[in-house]
Amino acid sequence: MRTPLDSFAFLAAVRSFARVKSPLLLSKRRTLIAEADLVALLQQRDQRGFALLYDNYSAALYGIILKIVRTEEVAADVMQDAFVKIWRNIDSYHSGKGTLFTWILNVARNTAIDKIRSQEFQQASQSQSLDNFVGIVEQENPVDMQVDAIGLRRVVAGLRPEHRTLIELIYFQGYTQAEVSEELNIPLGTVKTRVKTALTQLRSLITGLLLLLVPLRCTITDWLFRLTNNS
Amino acid sequence: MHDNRLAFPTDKQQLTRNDTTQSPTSLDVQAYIASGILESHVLGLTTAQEAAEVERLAQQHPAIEAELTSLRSALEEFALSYEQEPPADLRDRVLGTLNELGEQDEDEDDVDERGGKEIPLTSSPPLSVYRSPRFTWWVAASWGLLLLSLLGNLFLFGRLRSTEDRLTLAEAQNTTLAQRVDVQQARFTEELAVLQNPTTRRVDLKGTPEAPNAQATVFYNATQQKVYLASATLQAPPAGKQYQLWAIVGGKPVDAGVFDVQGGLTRQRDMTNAQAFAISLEATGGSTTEAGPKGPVVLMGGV
Repeated sequence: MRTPLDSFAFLAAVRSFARVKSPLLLSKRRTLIAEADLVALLQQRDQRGFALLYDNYSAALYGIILKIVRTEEVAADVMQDAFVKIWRNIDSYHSGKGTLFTWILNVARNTAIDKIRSQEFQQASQSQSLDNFVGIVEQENPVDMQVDAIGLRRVVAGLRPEHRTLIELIYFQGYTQAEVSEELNIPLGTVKTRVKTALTQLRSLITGLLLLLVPLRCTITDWLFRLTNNS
Repeated sequence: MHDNRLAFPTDKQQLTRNDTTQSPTSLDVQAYIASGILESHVLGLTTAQEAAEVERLAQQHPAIEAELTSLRSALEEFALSYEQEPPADLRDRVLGTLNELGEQDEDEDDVDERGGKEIPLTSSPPLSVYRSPRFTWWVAASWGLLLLSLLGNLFLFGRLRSTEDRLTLAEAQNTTLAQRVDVQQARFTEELAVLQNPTTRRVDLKGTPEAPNAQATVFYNATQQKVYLASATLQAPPAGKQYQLWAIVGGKPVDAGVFDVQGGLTRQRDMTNAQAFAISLEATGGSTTEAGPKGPVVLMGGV
């Protein structure tokens, strides 16, 4: 019998093997490259490295940016700014900070949050409230999304509302715990507890999904990898 | 849970050795994980000091590292749930911007040595100002060289003119000389032909009592009727006087032409059936056949 934590640790290891240790499968171009090699390319400011990075991660980054800034026009600008920041700061990345994906995800997220906190942006979109933009994202047509994302979104939708609001305020709005406490009018201690609970809940929901998805994904990755090597 | 506990003794050993840092014990590790700071950390809510501590402890305790990884993965999956394809044209825009950045960085490497970012156009004027002294020197040097060159040209042109003049003169002299040589050669050839001709007869004229020591020679070719005179041995005639050669034909003197004393042979008038030759000293211009010799006959010789 496995505890949720154990099974997640197991799955995280499997995933990181599938995604990081073995060559990455870049879905659009079917180019295989190890993450360490990709980082080396990026640190040499090699254009091919950035093209690979874009092809592999642009959908994930763009989705997060769009979720934060809400309009496609601004999202495109922020996406460009984020890649410029990655270009300028790639030397400061090291594997101790997590995977490359975690790092660039944080760069994109921070760039987008900086944008919505800038004065010009706040003046332009003062009328929209938090409730509105949550609605906007949910109304979007999911045709573009990959199968994983649809499944994940359903799972995330299973979060309890107070946890979901909390994660979105922090993750998409860049709120500090103190700001959350003020915004939601709950004590700071409660916020801290709730952050932990929310993440734990999120993790267990995702673990449940991954138990179904990861074996399939690994099989496909492995199969494509072998196919590419044989041909 | 069993896996975690098996790992703890090694953690403890590491921790007891590390007395300077107040690292958590095995129970503290679980308490640390339970404290919620890792969740705060992956969400970027920790201070820089707390973040450094989390990363340091994660390196020391695999349990913390594993917990961090799983939390990060959960957030990644959460982020991926919003995955959306960007507009197709954004790829070229982003990669194009990075390409420009790469080129700019290369340019800045050059510019930075002079301590500033300048685009080439604005950096041009200071460059020419910087070169100004050297530039003036070159202009001065150029003008100097041009002047020297002009003077040199004038000098050489003068030399050329004088050389051309002298060359023209030399050519003229050469031509004259050549002509003279030609004339001379033609004369010598003719004289030689006369002398070598077997039908030419040599007539020695001897001085009469008027000029007992005088000598001259006539070469007469009766067939060709040509008369040549060698007069070099004669004394120059007095002023206003000129020698005149006469041929005696049928007992009568016939004018064969006046002559000046000179080297070589002089061709006189052609004569037919000359029997003898004589030379008289006449007034300049000589006499005629009709008038006959007026002055004294100084030489005479028969064929």
